[in-house]
Amino acid sequence: MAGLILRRAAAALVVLALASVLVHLLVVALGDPLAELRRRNPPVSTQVIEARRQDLGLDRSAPQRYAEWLGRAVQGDFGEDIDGRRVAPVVWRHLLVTLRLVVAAVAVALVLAVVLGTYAAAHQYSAGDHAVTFAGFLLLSTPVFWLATLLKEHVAIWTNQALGFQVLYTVGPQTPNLVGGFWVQAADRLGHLALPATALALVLFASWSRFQRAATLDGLENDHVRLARATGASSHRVLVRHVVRNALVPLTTVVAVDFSLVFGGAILIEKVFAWQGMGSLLVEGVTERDPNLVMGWLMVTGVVVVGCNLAADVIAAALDPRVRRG
Amino acid sequence: MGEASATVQAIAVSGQARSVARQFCRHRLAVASLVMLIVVVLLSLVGGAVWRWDHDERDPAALSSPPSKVHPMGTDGIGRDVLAQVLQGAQRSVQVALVVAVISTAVGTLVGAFAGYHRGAVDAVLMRLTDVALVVPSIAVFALLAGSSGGDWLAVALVIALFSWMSVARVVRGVVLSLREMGYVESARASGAGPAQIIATHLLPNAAGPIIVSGTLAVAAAILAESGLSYLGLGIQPPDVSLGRLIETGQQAVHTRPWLFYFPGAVIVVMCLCVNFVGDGLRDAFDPTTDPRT
Repeated sequence: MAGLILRRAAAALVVLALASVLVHLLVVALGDPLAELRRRNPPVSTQVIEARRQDLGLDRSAPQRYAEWLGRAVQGDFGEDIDGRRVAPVVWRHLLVTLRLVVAAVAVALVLAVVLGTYAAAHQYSAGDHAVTFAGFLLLSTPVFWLATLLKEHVAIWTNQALGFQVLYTVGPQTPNLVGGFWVQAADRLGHLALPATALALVLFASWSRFQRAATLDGLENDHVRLARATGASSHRVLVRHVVRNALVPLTTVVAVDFSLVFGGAILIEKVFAWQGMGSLLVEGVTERDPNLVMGWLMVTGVVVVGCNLAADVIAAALDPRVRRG
Repeated sequence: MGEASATVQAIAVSGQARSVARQFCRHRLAVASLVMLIVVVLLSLVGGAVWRWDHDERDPAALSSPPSKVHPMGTDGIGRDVLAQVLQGAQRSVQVALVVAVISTAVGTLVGAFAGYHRGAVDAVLMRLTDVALVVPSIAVFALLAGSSGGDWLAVALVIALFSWMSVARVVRGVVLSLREMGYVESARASGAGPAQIIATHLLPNAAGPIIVSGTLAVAAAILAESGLSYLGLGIQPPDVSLGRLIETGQQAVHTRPWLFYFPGAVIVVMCLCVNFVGDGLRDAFDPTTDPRT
């Protein structure tokens, strides 16, 4: 097990190193970060622009800039953005906001997908199966920001009116300057989190429940499942102990690989609910062509992705002895 | 490879195509979706030219008017016909989706086939490349490149295509890896066929099912990716129209002028739903284990 983790961690480091090169090429392709400064009216003096150019290291060649950036990045320093802020703390702060949304959504989506996907497979071709499958297809075809807007504009209002006081909030991750104890704060954050997380969870549920259904159907055909059934084990016990457990192995891999879907969805949902997370930071970095900000953004998400993949490998190994022996 | 074996191959392929078509027709929802999809695509490609309003034409007599006979989907605040705009946006979606599907399927098939056939160092390099491409959230890459592309739809499509081939590559690699040890591939190799010939005539036809299915999924994903990018303001730029941007501007009017928000979104949902059902029908049709009676 330890050997496996070490091997995977080494491979992850290689992938990260290559990704940093790719990311640097992308940032070079972004274009001139000083274009906006040059266009300003009244014009900015050439000395200021030249100073900025040196600060950002644009007077040096791209490989040289990459080497310098890498030297600092391995120590956790991503330099300064165009406005002179330290990039690392800014990115981490925004990441925490986004992770709150992502973790909640992934947890809800996983539970929904495993329960309903297994149910659909166990009752193949029943009305329930068709309903789960159709809901999955529908959600898979819906733009996540459109779905999120529907929740924001309708569900929030209905719920709050039905209850007679505001439970669900639709702007930002929390009420600014809220006074109150731990429970007040927690309830406030939960009320802000519920709708964005639901929107993201529904989209993730759509693809994962289909996967879980297929994996469960495959599992039900296996000889060991037939044997278990022949020995007289109850069908519920067979399903939980012999089928679902096996189906979870490929699902962990799918969840890890789907990170792009998760993060992309989160970015769009953040815009709908006005969260200042990784989404707004990305848009800021791209529209301002801010090299260090974009590099920092991409590398931090890269580390998170690689970390998730590593965790998925470890979980898969823990669930499946065959993976452990490699 | 004599002429005879090429003929056998051709017969086998056309036989497979016929049986797939027969299977597909049994899947009623998929057939209905295919018909619907063809209608939507045709409408989006020629509808804009036929429809009496242009997408940027203003009707001063109808500002923010709800759906009516003159404007079946209503108008926006400066009197532009929403149906004309939706048609234009749908056309962009279809164009982007087609470009992405063709390029990502071609690149993914090539990378996957060569990685799977050659294994070893080639495989390791190509698969690390796909891993790296998967590490960065695709929307971020799209945003970076599309943001500097100037908002031309073709540029947006190329950017999305450039980072959408990984899943096809993985699928094709898996199929090729499992087939390359088969006896008939061995015998083709022994009779002097080169790698390119073996991949093209013996391996890829067997991977046709998975390739076509991942191609359809890429179409739906591309439509959603383009709308998402444009929603963020990083995709197709004005004066051109995108369904994502229409939703973004209609978002403030969900309660006051709902037609601005619902129509563009509904069109995306219908297009993607049809594509996904067609893909599902194809998956069943290509799967020889599917029970023909279901």
